[in-house]
Amino acid sequence: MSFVGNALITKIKTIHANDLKLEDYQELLKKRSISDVALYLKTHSSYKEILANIPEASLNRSRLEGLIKRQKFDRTIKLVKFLTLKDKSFYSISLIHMEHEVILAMIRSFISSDEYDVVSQIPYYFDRYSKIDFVELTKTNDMESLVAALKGTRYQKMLRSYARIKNEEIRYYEFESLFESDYYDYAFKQIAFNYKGKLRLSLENAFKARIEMENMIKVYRLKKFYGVKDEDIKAILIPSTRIIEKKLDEIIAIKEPADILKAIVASGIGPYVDDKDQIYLEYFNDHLRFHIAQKFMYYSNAAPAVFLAYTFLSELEVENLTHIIEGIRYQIDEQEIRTMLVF
Amino acid sequence: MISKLKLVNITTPEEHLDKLLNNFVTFSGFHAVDPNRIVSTVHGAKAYEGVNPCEPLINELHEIETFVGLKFETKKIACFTSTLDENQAFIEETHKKITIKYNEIKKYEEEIKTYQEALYQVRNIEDMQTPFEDLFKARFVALRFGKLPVDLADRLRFYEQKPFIFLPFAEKDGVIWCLYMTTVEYKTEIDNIFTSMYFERIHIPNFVHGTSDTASVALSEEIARLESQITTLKTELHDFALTTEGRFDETMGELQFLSDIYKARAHVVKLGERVTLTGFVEQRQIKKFEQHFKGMANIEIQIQDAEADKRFSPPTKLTNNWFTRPFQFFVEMYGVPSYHDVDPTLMVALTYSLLFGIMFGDLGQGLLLSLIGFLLGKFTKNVLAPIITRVGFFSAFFGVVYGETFGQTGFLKPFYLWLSDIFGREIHPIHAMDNSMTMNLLLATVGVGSTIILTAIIINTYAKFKTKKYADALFSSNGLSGLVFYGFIMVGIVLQMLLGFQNVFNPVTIILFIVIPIILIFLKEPLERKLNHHKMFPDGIGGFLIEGIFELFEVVLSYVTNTLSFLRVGGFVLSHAGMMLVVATLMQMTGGAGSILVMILGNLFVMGLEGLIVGIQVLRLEFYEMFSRYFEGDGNIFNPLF
Repeated sequence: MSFVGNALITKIKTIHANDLKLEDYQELLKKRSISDVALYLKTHSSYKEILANIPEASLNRSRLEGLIKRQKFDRTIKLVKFLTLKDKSFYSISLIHMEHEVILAMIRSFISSDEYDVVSQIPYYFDRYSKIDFVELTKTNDMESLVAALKGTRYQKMLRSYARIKNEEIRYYEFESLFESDYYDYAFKQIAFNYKGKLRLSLENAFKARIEMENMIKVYRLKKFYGVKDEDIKAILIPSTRIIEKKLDEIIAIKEPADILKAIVASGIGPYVDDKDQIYLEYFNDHLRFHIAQKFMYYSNAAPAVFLAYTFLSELEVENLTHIIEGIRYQIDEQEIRTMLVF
Repeated sequence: MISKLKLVNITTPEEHLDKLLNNFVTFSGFHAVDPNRIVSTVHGAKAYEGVNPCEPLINELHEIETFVGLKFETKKIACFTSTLDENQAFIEETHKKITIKYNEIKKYEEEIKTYQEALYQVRNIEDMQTPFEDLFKARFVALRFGKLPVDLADRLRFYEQKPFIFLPFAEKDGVIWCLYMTTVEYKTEIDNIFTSMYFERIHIPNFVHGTSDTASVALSEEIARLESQITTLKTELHDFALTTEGRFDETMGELQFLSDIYKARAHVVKLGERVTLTGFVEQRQIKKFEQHFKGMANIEIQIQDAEADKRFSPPTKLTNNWFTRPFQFFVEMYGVPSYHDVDPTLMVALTYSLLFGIMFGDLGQGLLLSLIGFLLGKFTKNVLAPIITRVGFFSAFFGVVYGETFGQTGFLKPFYLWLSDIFGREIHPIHAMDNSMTMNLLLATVGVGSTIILTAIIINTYAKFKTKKYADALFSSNGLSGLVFYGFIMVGIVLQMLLGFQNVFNPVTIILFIVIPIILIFLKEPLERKLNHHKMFPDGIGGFLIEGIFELFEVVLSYVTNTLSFLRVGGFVLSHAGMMLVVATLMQMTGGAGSILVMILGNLFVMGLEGLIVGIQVLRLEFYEMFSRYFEGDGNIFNPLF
């Protein structure tokens, strides 16, 4: 492995060493107000810089969540900027994900009321790292203007066929799927282009395991909340080679959404999740991500795998903190918040 | 060294307990044992409740101290003039009175803060000639003064198409002081946008009229008025406290005294009608202790050896002289030696100072370091200050040996000429950077390291014999066997390779001093079991052999790595010389007055950077290379109640 790769692993592990640990979460779970959480994070080496000049009493839920996301973004950017590797394009994967979030936030705003302030929902600070013109994008109010504003980016081509859809006809989950597919396409292309052998296989498997889990969650959601037909569901799912089609069909064919949970446990993902964690289906995915990331972080000596692990763990840390903050805001019991956390 | 202790029992009938405790709390140097140890082993023994009712009252008094800005003296009392209830009533009543005024002060302080923000904002628009009342009475335009977080201000570019004007004035402490204007029609939408960016509005008070100049004056006057009110209130509080200060001191004294009694009572054990306090006292304090209770009726003092009662492990009281005492800090950082162990402080003091001196040898820098340490100790309570003072002198001494003063070699030349005259032959300082010297220097540091390791093994062997751990003393790698093995190899190398002795390593010496000790080290555990009359190989020989071979490999490897670890000492001598050479080169390049500046900055840089690194490296050698051989640090510190 190259020296640059070694240096990157060292840098990632140094940054990761400052991430929140079990004892931090235990302390945070005891906090009963947002300002207490902010005060605790202010003393933590990972967050003290971003929270330094902000009086904790003036912080509310969304501001604190925004700052936490910003901190994680800054750290990731530090890593990506640090790179002078041939495989730099692979490391841009988390930036691709953020671009998707921005476009999806815009599409959500089209469905929502006029007063929806989309700017407050997007990581606007990210625009200098993207080809998308964020200012132009935020001025759009339907699919046609959105597609026009995406000029010069690969997203224009991707969304061109949707340009004529009226706001009231937008089916949000279709776009979610579209961008998910794009994300994984990008990931697999970059992996195939840059890596080979065991590393390639392990990176692909990490993504495939995630796809399978997300597919199953999607089946559950589409059945339970949207009542989508089985054949439409299959069209939306992201193809994965690890799970045989017959098995996927079996899961889609399950009539009762609650039974999908049992099918997931039976599919072999069960061992990753403790009994007490099997409360919300979505958390299966988090647990899966956590276990893959932990494995890469501690045992891998390949920079891309360690980087991928870091991005997974960063996402989970942001989600964990969001659960704690929201839990405190809505006065949810400490034990119940704990069930939502993955660490 | 570790002070000798005695185990002491003071017993009295229960009705005399208060009298005993009244006297007991005025003696300092009694390390009480855990009463539960006695309660759990003596049938019918009971401990007193550990609740101390004085603590909340003392805390309340400390809060009052903060309110009134005074520090109450803890008056020493001979007898109680008030009951606990009376003291409690006094504190509560006074606290209440004080709190009313204190809250008023806080309220005014809050107001001042608001007005100061408004004043800052008003001064930001001092050029504006429009009166404030006109601005706020505008029918079609809405105007907001306030603060916006800097990190969110970037978001404004997304709202360029919205109908508002944004005017930033100044940036301070992570916020932008600013104002925005919009029309009444769009007020709600624009307010929402700014609220989503956590814009914090600053209200200009109603009493402010006119232009910014007159507003500034009005606000300044109001702030001054509030400040004067605060001063009055603070004076009133202070005066009030002063009038009752004597009472506060007395109450504090009584409560503190009573609190001490409760603290001591928590260590008393009651058995039948009699009560006992058990603990350790330094042997040299025993007479003073007996004298302290002399004349008190119904008191029985029993003095025994520290280990007379196996239920209690004696704590460790380290007693060291003026030179070694500061180094106790390093020892305690690692752990406290147990009562029977050897106190490593002397060894740490000598080796730390010596190694630091060797690695950081410079007469000028050493003396300056000592001066810094002295001043730091004089004006702060920094625990490292006395250590810095001491190691500075060693550094200065080795500076003389290397002939360096602030990196310059010329300063000590007359001294060496004088030495040469006295001894009748040329004497030169040791120049680390000389090609002929480098290898010798590195070998010498390894020699110093080996000597230190051998000393550590000797100390450990002595300590193990002292504590009757004969197997450890005889067969361990840090015991006699290790000493013979390592000592023979090291002495043999010196004799054969450096002093030219022939055939030091012959079959007889190899068998006697290498093979036999290594076999004993290998068989240490079975031999220990044999000494304790147990089976030598309880789990079979096969498993033992595999495990033992690996362990032996590790032991031998640790001798090598520990010895080579001292190469860093030589490495740092070279690094110091190298860095000073860079400073000297830079001085030559600069020339004139600039060279003096380079010399000062260069020396300060080297002192700061290298002083810190060397300090840490020597500590590492102490902890890993030395302590791991002779110091376990599993004792308890002697912690007297008062």
